[in-house]
Amino acid sequence: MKGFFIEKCIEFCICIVVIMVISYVPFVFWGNNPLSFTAFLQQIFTHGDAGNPMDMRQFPFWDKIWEPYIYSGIILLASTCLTVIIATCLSFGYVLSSLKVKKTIERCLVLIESIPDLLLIFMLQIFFVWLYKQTGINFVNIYAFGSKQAYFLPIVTMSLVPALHFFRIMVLFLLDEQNKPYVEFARAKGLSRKYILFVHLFRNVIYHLFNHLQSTFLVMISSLLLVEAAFNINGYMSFILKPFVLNPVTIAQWILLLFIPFYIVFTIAHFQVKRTTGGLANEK
Amino acid sequence: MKNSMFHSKRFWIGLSFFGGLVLASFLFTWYGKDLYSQTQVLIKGADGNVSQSAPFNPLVMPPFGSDRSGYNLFFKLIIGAKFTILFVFGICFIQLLVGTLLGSLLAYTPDSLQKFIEKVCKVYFFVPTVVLVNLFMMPLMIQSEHTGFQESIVIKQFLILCIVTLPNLILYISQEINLFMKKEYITSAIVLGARKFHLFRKHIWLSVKEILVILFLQQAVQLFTLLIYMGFFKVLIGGRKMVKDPFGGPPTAFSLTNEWSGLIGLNKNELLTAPWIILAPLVAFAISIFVLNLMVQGIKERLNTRFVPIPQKKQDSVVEEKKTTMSVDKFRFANMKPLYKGKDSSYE
Repeated sequence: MKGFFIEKCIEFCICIVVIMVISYVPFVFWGNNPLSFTAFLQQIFTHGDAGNPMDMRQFPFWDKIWEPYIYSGIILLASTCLTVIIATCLSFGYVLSSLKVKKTIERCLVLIESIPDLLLIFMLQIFFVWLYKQTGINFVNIYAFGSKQAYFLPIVTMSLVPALHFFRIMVLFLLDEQNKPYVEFARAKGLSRKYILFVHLFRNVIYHLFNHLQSTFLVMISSLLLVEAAFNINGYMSFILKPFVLNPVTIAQWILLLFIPFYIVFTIAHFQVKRTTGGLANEK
Repeated sequence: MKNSMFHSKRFWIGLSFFGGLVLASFLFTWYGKDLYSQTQVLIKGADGNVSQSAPFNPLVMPPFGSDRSGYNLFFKLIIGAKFTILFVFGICFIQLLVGTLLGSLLAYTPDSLQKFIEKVCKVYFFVPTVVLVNLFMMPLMIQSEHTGFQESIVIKQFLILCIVTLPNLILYISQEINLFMKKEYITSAIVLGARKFHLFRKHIWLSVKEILVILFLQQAVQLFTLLIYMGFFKVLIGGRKMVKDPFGGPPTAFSLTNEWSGLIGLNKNELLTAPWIILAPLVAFAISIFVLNLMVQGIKERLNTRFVPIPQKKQDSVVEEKKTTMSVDKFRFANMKPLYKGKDSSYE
């Protein structure tokens, strides 16, 4: 266990270095880069950009980012929960259904997966506007405007695509788990399929899923970026798109703020999974 | 070779779809100039009065309608198709070339180096590619606003897109090769005295070859989605042109090549007034992604019928592979040691 944490720490340090380099390198192409690399490093670890009088547009990064960060965090958390719930329901339905239904679901999946999430977002927006025009009732906020924040629609749109992604992985593991001898034994004892699925299979599969949460996470993060831009949300991800962000210090801080919390979360999850399963589920 | 992918119907359908689209696009650019450059801003009714004006909906001007300056969207899409499709496929091709080369080189390097590179690439799993692309592209975009369309910009963008999505591919290919290396026939080939290069050429290449086609298509899907994202954030292939609004509004951007993703990003504001302008290119993207997915499916089914035991998805096979090697190792070493230790301790 000690070795595990030491390795993770090394990995963490390497990643930090890589982030520094990534956020610095694009500005070499700018040509007129005001910062040397050492000055850049210093500025990151002191406090924001306040110390640089050269640029008038700069502002204390941490003050500005805090509110959008929490807001985006809420959306991300909510849509993660929704994703897991939707994917679980779908996969249970899939596993319990007959062969014929399974085939139709698979056919539809290819079609649905091909729809880009931007198309989905636009369709939903248009749909709700149409609904508003027809009925005169404003069901949901389509755009975040001023102090009014949009919650419902962003969360729903964000969780649809990752849910399908997660559903695929889940079904894969569930079907794999179904062929194991203990399921046969449970069946022989007279337990129903539903009971085995809910109690035994799900419990065993959940650890595999934890490992794949990371790939789903990346999908979610990129669709969060899109959703925030499409719904005009002043969020954490769309922060990067603003023109005044384009200086290496802010970008490094931005990426670090994204990377560190989630890295810690995934490390803890990884550790927990490893401890419970003895490392078997961790083999990727 | 009865079961090779060339016998898959879906593969051919997809190939002819893209081939046809690119061909049509070129033909239209060469011979159909009056078709696509013709604009129609007003439609006059029977009595000579103007009945409708510029953004026509798909019902008035089939099949996709027209945009605000009166161009028929269908022709616009077809003209733009060759840029988008050739660009994406070109990137995929170069990526696979470089990726296979570096990936197989990586697979032959010592374990510690491989682990190190894996850790370096870990950042890629936390930062979305769009953000990176956006970072690298921004300077180019601003440059193109001043200089207009230049081939060097397209080439630079091409290279940026190649490099940004490359690390994942390299890692994937090297892992895949590592898996093949653990198979029994490889071990026996090594025992028989096969050199590394011979091993690669005769045994590993055969298996890698089949993955490459699927990888190519999957990369293309990824790139198409990336292009949608980029277009949405107004990062366009071939740069953009800023035209100042005569009425003092914010300057509007124009795509310099007419490719699909540009059409999305630039007409973002039209969503509620004339949704078809922005939905048409999105639908075009959706169709191409769908066709690519179909191709992947067709090839996979062909490959699956060839092997008698149906190969499961990659992650599973990796898990099982590792499990079996682990159990072998345990049987040889790990199992023995505790046994002796236990005996020793009991004697003490």
